[in-house]
Amino acid sequence: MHRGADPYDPYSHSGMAPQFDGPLGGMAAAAARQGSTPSIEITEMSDEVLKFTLTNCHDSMANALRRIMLADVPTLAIDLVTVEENEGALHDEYLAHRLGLLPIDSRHVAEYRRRQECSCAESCVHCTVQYDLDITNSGADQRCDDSGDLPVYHTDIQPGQEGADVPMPVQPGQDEHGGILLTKLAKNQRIKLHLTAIKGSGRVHAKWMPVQTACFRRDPIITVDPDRMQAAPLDHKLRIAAACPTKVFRVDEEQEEGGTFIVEKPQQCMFCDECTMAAEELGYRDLVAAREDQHKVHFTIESTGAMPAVMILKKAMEILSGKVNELREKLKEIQMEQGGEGAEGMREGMDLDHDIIPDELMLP
Amino acid sequence: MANQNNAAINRPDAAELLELPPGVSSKVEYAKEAKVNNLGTFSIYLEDHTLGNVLRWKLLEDPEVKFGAYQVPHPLEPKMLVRVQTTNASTPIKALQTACGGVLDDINSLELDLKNQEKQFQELQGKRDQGRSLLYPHAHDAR
Repeated sequence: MHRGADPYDPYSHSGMAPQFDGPLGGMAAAAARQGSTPSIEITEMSDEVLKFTLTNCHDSMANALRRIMLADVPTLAIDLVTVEENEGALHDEYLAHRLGLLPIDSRHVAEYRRRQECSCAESCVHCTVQYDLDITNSGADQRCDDSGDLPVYHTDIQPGQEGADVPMPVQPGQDEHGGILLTKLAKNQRIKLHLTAIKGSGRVHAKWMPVQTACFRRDPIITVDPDRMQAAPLDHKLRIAAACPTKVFRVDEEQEEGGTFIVEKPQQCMFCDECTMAAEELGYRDLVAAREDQHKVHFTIESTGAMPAVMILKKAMEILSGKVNELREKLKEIQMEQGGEGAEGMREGMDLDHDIIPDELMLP
Repeated sequence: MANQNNAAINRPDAAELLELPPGVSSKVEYAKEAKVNNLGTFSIYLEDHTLGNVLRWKLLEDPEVKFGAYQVPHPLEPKMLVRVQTTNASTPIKALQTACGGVLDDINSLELDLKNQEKQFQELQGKRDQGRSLLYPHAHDAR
């Protein structure tokens, strides 16, 4: 029935409810949903930012990747702060919170175990990273500002353990301010802290999130009926163009008598339908429409600095395939337990072809 | 279910998000519906919408699947239900396995694509700034 229809666009079947949102499967629906293989295209890449376009990728896959990047990709973060001395203006908890939010180079986080999974009694090099922060404002430091306060930056944190490759706190972006400001010390104030970082994921606390931004938006398809739009008077064109809050449209008044309506910046569209409504108010139906392209998803990832943005994406993919693999293994076990019985045959007194599940059998 | 010793009122204990709840031996449990053929509910622990939504979508691509849905019964409980009904040509277990395979195929092709694209981009960037990283200037990439 819908064989020729767009499998990713629920709205391409006029009068039909969005297809993906219904729980009912079946041949016709399945045939309409057969998609082609998803692909990826990077449009911008640096250590901090990754932008890419996913094509032929259903929202659920994009969303799974986004959710994993936010909640499941592990990083290192300071979790325990032992305060030996704190004479600064910020109280201990405040300082500990700020330290916890510092991004720590987590490119080799896979070499660490989670604290809960480690066999050691309290801490060891396989599950924790130790740092020291001991700094006094003696007044002699060149970094002191005009009022004599000493700013304390993330670069003041020293490794508290042996070894050349201790993962250290990093600062994303340009190194403009000398580092990430932790606190300021007045003359003769001192802080002496011992810091312990562990491996964790954003699911437990946001300080373990490797991303500051992980979001996607669909590609807009903006359709304008060219003939009717050209026939419309100039002030109508201007009013429709002005209705758009993100200035997607422009009216060129010089080229032609009555102006030319141009879709200038489709990427800025935010699907608010203001243009459609403005056109309808002026008496035009279906003149302008903006809808989402179900085939294309534009992704933006910004790293906190814990690891390069592309690495976050790779790890997210690994984690997703890990989750699915694990499920598949468990399903194999269940099938073995069930004695490998195939499709259930006919059983007596049973309605064989339930197309609709009785209410009492639906999920609670 | 929230840890009573936890001072933060509703916050689930970190361990609850990583370990199976007490009394649960397997991450995946399957309960076959007695009254209807080829209908069953999978309880999958420590998973949520992340996996549920992809699975449901893949299930619905399968022509043998008559009904496929997922549910997270409680937002603070790390548990997810997947309910599947199939035609007589398949079973819910088989259908879910097929769905898993489908998701894996998709991820694999994405991973491959990403690898190629990254290589191309790095070649471009390498010419521009000799691969120097702003974020990790003193980094040791030997590993």
